[in-house]
Amino acid sequence: MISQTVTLTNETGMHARPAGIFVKAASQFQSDIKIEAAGQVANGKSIMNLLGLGLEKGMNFTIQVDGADEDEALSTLVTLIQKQFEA
Amino acid sequence: MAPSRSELPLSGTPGSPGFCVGRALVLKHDSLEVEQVAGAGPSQELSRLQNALEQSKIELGRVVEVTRKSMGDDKAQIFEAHLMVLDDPEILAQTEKILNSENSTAEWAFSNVMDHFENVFSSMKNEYMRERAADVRDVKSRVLRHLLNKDVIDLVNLQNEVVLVADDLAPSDTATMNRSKVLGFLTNIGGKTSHSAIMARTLGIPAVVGLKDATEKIKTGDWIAFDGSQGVAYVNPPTALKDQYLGLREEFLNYRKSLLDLVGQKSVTLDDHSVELAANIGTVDDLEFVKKNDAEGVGLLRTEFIYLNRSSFPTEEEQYQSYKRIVEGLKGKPVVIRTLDIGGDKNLSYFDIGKEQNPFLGYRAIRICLRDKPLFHTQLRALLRVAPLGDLRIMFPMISSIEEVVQAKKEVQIVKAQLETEGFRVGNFQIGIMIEVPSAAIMADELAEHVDFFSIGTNDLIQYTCAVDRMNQKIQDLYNPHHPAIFRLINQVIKAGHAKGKWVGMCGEMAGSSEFLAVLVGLELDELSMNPSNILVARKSLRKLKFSDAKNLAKRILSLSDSKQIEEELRKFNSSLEKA
Repeated sequence: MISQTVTLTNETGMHARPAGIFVKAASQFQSDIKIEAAGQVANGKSIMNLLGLGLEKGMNFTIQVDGADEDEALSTLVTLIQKQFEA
Repeated sequence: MAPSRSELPLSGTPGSPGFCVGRALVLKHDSLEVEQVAGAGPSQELSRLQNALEQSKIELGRVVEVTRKSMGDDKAQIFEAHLMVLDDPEILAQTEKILNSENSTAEWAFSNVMDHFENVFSSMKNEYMRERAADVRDVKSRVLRHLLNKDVIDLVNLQNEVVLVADDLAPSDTATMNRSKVLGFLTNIGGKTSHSAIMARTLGIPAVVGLKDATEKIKTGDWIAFDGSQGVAYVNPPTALKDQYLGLREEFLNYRKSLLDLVGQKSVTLDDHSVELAANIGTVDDLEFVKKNDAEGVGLLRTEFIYLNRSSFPTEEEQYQSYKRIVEGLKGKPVVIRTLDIGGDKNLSYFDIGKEQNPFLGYRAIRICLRDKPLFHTQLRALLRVAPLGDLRIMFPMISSIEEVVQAKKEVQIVKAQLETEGFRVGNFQIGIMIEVPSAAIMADELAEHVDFFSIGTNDLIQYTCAVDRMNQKIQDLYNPHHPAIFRLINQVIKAGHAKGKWVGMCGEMAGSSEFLAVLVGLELDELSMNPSNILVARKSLRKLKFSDAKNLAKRILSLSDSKQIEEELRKFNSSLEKA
């Protein structure tokens, strides 16, 4: 398992659109993907789990990836956050 | 099969004129309560759920496609979000967990999972997130309806002509419904200025609102006959009555067609006094109605549409593109664009105004813009950038003092200077204000110094002058456009504007009412801006009217002190005009 902590920088925070983009990207990978923020853990492939964390601009969270394609998955998702969900 | 019940007519508030005969489609949020009973075993129940999810996905996929084609990407996004919820792996995983431990039905387990998600959202601090609870509910009820073998109604996919019967119609309903199949609306709640009523008038379809219990008294499939200008609806009328209404409907449609002969004609009185007849619009899509009804301009573009139904403020570029389409679509005719008018009864999910005791007297419209400069500047930049493309007129809502106008104009100058240093050529445009607060009407002579025009907003002016909440059905009789104070204020504003050489228009509901046309022309308004569907009706009446008679009528109305007398005087004048 590998993980990395990132900061959410886009203006709206984890709203439906960015969360949708994140979940779509996460679902392409076989690995288990978990998001941890403020002691809560969410399934990174579940839009409702992810929205339920209520992540706002400036908040930190950790992406944990476990599985065969974990390296590629983590770097894809971290880049997505850093680029503020723009492809 | 039509039931044979026939009852006393239901009565409500006239929402939109016209005769309507058709079968009811009742949109009811009937209970989808499920009970905890033993299921057919976990694996069988899970596959029932999977089937229901699949069916829901196919349906929603179709809704997304149709919505995107007819209404654009923005509207389709609502349903795309619902599709993503259906794909959420946690739904299946958690439902399966419950099924394995409780041996219940799929609907019971699924309901529990969705209720949990709904609670998570509705207990969040952020208002935007709280509103997502409604999306979860929406998806839940769609899937449950499949599990329980109940009908799912997607207005976007209507196949047969129907009369829609609902508690109220939400903007998302009217935005996505298949308009060609909707014959009319009947709603339980709302008044003349409710969304359902305004939308019905825009689409030119009959409606009665405020029927209180229409969804209880009417069943899907019932025959309905109603007259939108009377506010009376018959359920399963006797054949003779139904035939009579079919005849009236035919006449009404012919009348509508005859109005089209007025396209291309001038809006002038018999003695050649011209009045500009302009359109009130709310979205880019309304351009179609502006053209069809031959409006001489746009007298009110409500810019809220750019801000509503989204999750963050629109960017300058997004706004610019929308304004550009409208200003270019008008091909040099005047376009009055009102700056953001939120607050009161219109709120943005992503902008928290906070709870207020009196939202209509609170933080709204220009009051927000003058305190939130980035918000205001973004809109002003987009507006000034479209100035070179046509005849732009910027209008500020809810002005209550000279200081506000001076400050708003200062912000325009700041933005203009910015744009010019960036190399934009801004060009010419007018600046005006809405007169909808009594203090502004009283100070109109001074305000006229600072602006190019006034536009009188009667809906709020009446509510503020008579101190009556126009949404409160209990005191709707006090919301009275015949009040002599209203005519005095209107007269004062027009005189004050003209004394300084400024044009004066009106964009409230009164401007589009045929009852008031003659007196408003007599008071010498230069422009009347109304729902596009009223423009040709107004032109027809105007062309039968003598300006000199209208001026005399206005004089008589101003001399009256009782609203009943005013109503009677107008009725007499209008009926003699109709016979002419």
